[in-house]
Amino acid sequence: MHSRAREVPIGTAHCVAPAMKYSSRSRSSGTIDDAESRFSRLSESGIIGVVIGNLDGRIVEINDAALALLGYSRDEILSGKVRWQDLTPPEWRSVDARAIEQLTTTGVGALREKEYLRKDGARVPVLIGSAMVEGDVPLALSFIVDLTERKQAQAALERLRQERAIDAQFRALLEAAPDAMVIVDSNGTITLVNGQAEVLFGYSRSDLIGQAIELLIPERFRQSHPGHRGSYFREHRVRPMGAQLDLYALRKDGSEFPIEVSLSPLETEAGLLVLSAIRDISERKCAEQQRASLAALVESSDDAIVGKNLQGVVTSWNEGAHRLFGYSSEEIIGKHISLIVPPQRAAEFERVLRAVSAGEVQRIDTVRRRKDGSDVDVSLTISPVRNMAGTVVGISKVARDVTERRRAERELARAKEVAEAANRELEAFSYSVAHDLRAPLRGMNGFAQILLTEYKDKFDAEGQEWLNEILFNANRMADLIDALLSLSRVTRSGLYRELVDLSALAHSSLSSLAAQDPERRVELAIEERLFAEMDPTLARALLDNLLGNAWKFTAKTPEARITFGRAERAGEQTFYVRDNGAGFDMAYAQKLFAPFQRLHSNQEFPGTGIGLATVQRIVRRHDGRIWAEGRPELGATFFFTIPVPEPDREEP
Amino acid sequence: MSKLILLVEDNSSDEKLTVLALRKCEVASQITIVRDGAEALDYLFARGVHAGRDPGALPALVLLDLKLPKLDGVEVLRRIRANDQTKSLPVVILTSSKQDDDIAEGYASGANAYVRKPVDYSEFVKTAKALGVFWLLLNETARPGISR
Repeated sequence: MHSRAREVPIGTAHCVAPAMKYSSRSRSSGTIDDAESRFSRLSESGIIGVVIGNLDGRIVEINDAALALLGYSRDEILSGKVRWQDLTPPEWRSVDARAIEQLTTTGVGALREKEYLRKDGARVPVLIGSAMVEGDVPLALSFIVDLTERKQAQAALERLRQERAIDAQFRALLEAAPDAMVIVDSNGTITLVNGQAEVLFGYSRSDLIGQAIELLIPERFRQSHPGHRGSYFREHRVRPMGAQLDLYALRKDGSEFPIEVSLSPLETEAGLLVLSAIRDISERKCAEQQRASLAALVESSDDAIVGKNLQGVVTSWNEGAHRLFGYSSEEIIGKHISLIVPPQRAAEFERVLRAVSAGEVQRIDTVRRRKDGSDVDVSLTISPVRNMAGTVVGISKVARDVTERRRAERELARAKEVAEAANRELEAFSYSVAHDLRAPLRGMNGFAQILLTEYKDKFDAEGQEWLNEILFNANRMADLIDALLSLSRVTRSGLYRELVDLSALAHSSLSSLAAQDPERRVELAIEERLFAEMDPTLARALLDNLLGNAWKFTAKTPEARITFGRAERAGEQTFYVRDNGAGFDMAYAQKLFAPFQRLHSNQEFPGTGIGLATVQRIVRRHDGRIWAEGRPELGATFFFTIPVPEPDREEP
Repeated sequence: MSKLILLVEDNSSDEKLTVLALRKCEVASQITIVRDGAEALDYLFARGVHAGRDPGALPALVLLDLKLPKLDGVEVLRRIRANDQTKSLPVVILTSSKQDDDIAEGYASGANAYVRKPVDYSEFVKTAKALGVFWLLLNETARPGISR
């Protein structure tokens, strides 16, 4: 503080000289009187404190200015209770001692700065000059100028200068920090922010400085914040803010985001400031949430999900694993997974472990041993777990209890056997129907015909008619047997699907119908390139039956018309065969497809009642649906669907 | 060449009708009837009740039913084909069945033809006539015991 001396008012020196003469108060002289009266005015002006005391410490005179400066009453001082040494703080006493030595040797104590202790304990900076006063008892006269205001002004100036110097470095540091930095004072007013804070909160620097920090806090936290802030100022230390709390900040645009805050106290001459380093943790929160939901998925899975390191030591174990294997996670984490591998599966386990460690995913159906010693059929998917660099660092295993599935498979196999046995029986039955029932019919027909031809003259017209009835009935029964057999063949034969050109089949079917009935004129409309994935033999039987039906029931229609096409019904590709023939009453729509069910007499339209039953079975075997619409004498339309088969579906 | 037809048939009605039908078309000079598979082989191999028969005198055609007592038609056919004397003998399966399995097995066992018996007698007569004309008049048969 080299500037101090220079700023001392020059006038002080003048004050010293007359004071020196004041000590010769016993003498009487005009000059002295003049000087005395001037001194008295100065002394009473309240600008300069004046203290007179002996060298032992007793103060014998003191003016009001000095009393005001020291905070004592005149009586307290003059009573002798307070010695002037007591008014000087200990660290200044050596300075006093030098001054007194100077006073006694030279009679003058040079101007010096020191501090006084006020009665209330506060310190007062002062400029003081002293001189010995000539008289009976040596007395020292001191003039005291209060430097408090000057000191304060100087300190403020100095602080400003320091702050400027520090500020430049500090700001550079602040801007270089990766986080948003906000400095607030003890009132919670923002005093400084960095560029990252501007970006993060969407405010400009000038928007923020001078505002309450609560500007950056969502409404619902604002009320309690000043309280937290106050307690931090009382007990400040570097620490994260709101440890274990979810903190949120508010942007200028009103959006909120999760943050992490680190608080540091900054002791400055302007008082305690708090530096907050604020980090947006949205991404981390998001990742944490994902991790948490994944963890919840793993935990809630019905499957056992197990993590192991490459040595086979269990590192994670979910509730599903607990249920399936009986070990709790506490029991098995840190133990080797071979705990649940039955001895006879050890070699397989080693092989799988090696393959997965080499980066392969393994899927096996095997057996594992429960805590209670029982074995369980499991289906395992074992995958390598890689670190960011792609190195295999662990193994994850998903195990599913397939005991139920195994049981279901065994049951299915048994059911299949039963069904196959029934099928074989049915086949044997069909065989005997075909072979054994036809033979007697052939006999009836044959011998009736022989009678009609070889013995015709032995029968009259009526007798011949009855023989014809025998013939007719035998033939009809043969037809029925054939129809029944073809129906059972449709139900039993294997299904070999391929892409079938239904349009081509329709053409071929109608050509042969036309060839059998060359005299009929039927208008045909066949939509080209209609394909379906069907068994080709059954597809042909399907169209033969439907088109044969249409052909038969349009026999009595003058301008017969048969259409084969495709339509969309309820979003589903549907094929249809339409005719304008005899039609049917919709009341019987469901009966159409029942075996041997006929809506017309044999005289009207001949038939066995098996055709549409066959058609329905063919469609059903392809997982499709069939239905009919019609009105008497206005024709009928048969719709059917053939869904695209599912790839893995096994046909019986 | 003989015009003998061996008819292997267990159903007496079918037997009579077949004989009548074959007679009507006047191609067969002789029809021999056996009523089960075992007897068919006895006849062809001249053994058992047919031991006195000349084993070299084979029929021009065998009409074989499938469903037969003792040995079924397919088994009879296999044995015919397994024997050097009879392996080139024309055998036509004449049966009520038109099941795919039967047809396939018939051919696999060495049948020369597979014909279904129609229920309608007039059809049956046409069928029998066609068979007789083809196998007895048109077809040339390898001589027994001659093979490559």
